[in-house]
Amino acid sequence: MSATIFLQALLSGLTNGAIYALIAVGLTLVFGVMRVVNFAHGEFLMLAMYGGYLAWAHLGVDPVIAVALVVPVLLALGVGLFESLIRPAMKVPEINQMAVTLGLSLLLQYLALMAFKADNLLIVQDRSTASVWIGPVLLQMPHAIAAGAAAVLLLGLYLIMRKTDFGLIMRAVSQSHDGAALSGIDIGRTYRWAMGIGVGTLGVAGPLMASVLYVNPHIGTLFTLKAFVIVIVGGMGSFGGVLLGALLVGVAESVAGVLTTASVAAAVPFALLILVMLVRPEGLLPVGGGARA
Amino acid sequence: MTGITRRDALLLGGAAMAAPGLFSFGASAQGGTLKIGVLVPLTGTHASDGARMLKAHQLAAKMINDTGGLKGLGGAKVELVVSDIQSKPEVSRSEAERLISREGVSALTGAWASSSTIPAAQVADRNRTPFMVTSAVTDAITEQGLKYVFRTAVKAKWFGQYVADFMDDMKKKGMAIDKVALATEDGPAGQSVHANYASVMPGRGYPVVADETFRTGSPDFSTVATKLRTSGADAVLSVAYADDSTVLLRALASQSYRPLYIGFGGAHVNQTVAASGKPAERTFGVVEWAPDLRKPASEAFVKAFAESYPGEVPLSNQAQAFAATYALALAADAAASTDRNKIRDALRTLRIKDGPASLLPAPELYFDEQGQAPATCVIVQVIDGKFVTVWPDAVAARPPAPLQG
Repeated sequence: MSATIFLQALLSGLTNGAIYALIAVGLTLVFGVMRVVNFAHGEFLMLAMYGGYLAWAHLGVDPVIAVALVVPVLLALGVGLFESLIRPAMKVPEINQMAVTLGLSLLLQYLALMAFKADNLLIVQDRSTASVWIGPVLLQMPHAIAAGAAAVLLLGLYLIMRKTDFGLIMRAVSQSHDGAALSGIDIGRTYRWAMGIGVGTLGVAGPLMASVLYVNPHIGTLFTLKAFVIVIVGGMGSFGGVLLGALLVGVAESVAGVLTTASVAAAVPFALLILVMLVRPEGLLPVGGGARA
Repeated sequence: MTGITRRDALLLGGAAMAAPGLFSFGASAQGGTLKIGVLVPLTGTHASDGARMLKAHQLAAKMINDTGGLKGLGGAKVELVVSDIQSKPEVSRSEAERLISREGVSALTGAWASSSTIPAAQVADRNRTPFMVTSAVTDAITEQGLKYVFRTAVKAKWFGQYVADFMDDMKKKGMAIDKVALATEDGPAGQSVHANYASVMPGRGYPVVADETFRTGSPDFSTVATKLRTSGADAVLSVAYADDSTVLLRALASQSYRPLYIGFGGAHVNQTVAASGKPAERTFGVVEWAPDLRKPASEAFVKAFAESYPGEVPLSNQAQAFAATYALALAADAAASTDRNKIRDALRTLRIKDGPASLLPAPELYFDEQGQAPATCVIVQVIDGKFVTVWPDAVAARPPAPLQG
C-alpha cells in the first residue's frame, strides 16, 4: 500500500467518522437523558434526507440552507414522537419500549415506500463532484461540508450542555431521574426536549447526507446499527464518546478496507464493539468519567 | 394472493398419492386455455422487481389472447396462474409444487432471483413440467442436466466475453485499452460476476491491475476511487447496485478520472444512474436488453408496454419475462397440445426469428439441449443523461460517443 493511499484512507475514515458522529449524537443524547433506545433513529434520518431532497427539488433550496428548514420539522417530529409514543412507553418495561421503536422504524420505512417509491433520488449540483486537494489526497466537497457541520453541531451541543441552565437540567436528569425530580425539575418536559433535540440533530444530518449519498426509504438502516455501535463504544450518553467512537469506527473501517477486503472491513466496527465490551464495558469515554456530557 | 391452508395441503397430498395419474392427465384436458404458472416475488425484499416482472408476463398473455389466442390449440387463450413466492426460496419450491399438482399448469415460468429459481426449477424437472427461467443468471441452472428447464436469460459467465468483445471493438476504433480495473460489490451477485471478469480478462489481453471490492451503502468511495485512478487502468469494470454506482461515479469524477467505465446489468442500467449528471455521462453498461434496441419486435414491445402501463418504460428483465411467456405459448401452439411433455419437446425444436417473442438482442431465440437460449447482451452508454444502445452495431441505436465531450 502506497503512502498516498494510506493517507487517503485515513482522511476518508476521519470524514466518514465525522458523518457518523453527526448521526449518532442525537441517539446518545436520547439514551443518556431518557434511557430509551430509539431504533427508529435511522428512519428519522431518512425523513430528514427526504426533507433535504424535496427542498432542493421543489423549492430550489441548497441543502446547506435546507438545514434551517428541516431542523424545526425534525424537532417537532421528535417532540411529537415523545408525546405520542415514548411517554406512554416509558411506563412499560424496556423490552416493550424497544418493540415500540422497532415497530415505528418499520412503519416509517413502509410509509416512505408508499409516499416516495423505492427508487433512489439524487441531489445533483456542481458541488456534487467538486473536491479539495490536501497535498496528495482529496476530500469531496459534499463530504467536507457534512464533516464541518458535524464539528459545529457537536461543539454547539457541548457548549449548550456545559454552559446553560438547560444543559444543567439535562445533565441532572441524565445522572439521576429521582434526584432531579426531587430538586423540582420537570422530568417530562426535560424528556420532551431531549427527544426533540435528539431527533432534531438529524435535521442537520439529513439534507447534508442527501447530497453526499442518495435517498431511498431504506437508507436509514444503513446507519442505525453503526450509530449504535458508536454510541456503545464511546460510552452511552457521552458526547466526547460519540466523537471518539465515530472517528475510531470511521478510520478503522476505512484503513481495514485498504488492507483487506470490504467484507472484512464491514466487520471491523463490530469487532471493535466486542473488544471494547470485553476490556472497557462502560465505553471509552463513559458519562461518569472525565468527559461527562 | 394464493394461500393454501394446511388442510388443503393434506387433502392434496392424499389425493396425489391415491391417484398419481390424475394430475398429469388433468394438464392436457382443460378445453380452451393454456395454463402457465407464474412464480414471482410480490412481497418481501424483491417485491418491486416481482411486480415489474408480472406486468411483462401479463402483457405477453394479453397480446396473445387479443390476437386470437393459440391457433394450434383451436384459439385457446393463455391463462396465467400467478403465485407470490414472497422473495423466499422455500416458498418458491412449495408454490411450484402447488401450481403443478393442484392448479394443473402446463408449464411454469419465473422466479426472478437465482436463489428462488433453482429450487422451483428442480421441482418442475422432477414433476416433468417445463420451467422457463426468466432472469436468473447463475450458470448451473442450465448446466446440471435438467430435462425440463429452459432459460431466456444470459449465463453469468458469458458477460465477461461480451465485455471483452466490446472492448476489442473499441480498440479497433482507436481507443487505448491496455489495462483494466475491477470494482465490485462484495455480495453474491458482485462476486460471481467478479470471478468471471477476473478469469476472462487476462486471457483476452486485458491484465487486471486493480481489484477493489466495496460494501453496499458505503458513504464514501474516495479511497476506492484513488486506488482505481493510481492503478493506471484504462477501463473500470464495475458490479454495483444503482445506489453505489452513483456514489462511485461521483468519487471518480471528483478525482477527474474518466476511464472507460462499464457498469453491470439491470441494477446499473437504471435511470437514477443516468440522472446523476456529469459523473455518469458517457459511461457504459452491459445489459441483456434495452428499450431503444433497433429490432421490430423490441420496438413493438416498448410501444405495447407503454399503452398497457402508461408512462412506463420496460427494463431488461421485463423483456426476458415477456419472451419467456411468449416462448412457452408458442411451444404449446406448435405442439398443438397442453401436455407438459409435448410442450417440452416443442421447446427443443422451437426457433423464433420474428414475431413478438424475438425482442431479445440475439438474432434467433431457441433452446439448446441444456435448455439454454443463445442470449446475448448489448452495451448501452449514457448520452445526454439517457442510456442509449451503442453496441453491437446490428441493434445499436447509434455508435458509441467519445468518452470526453
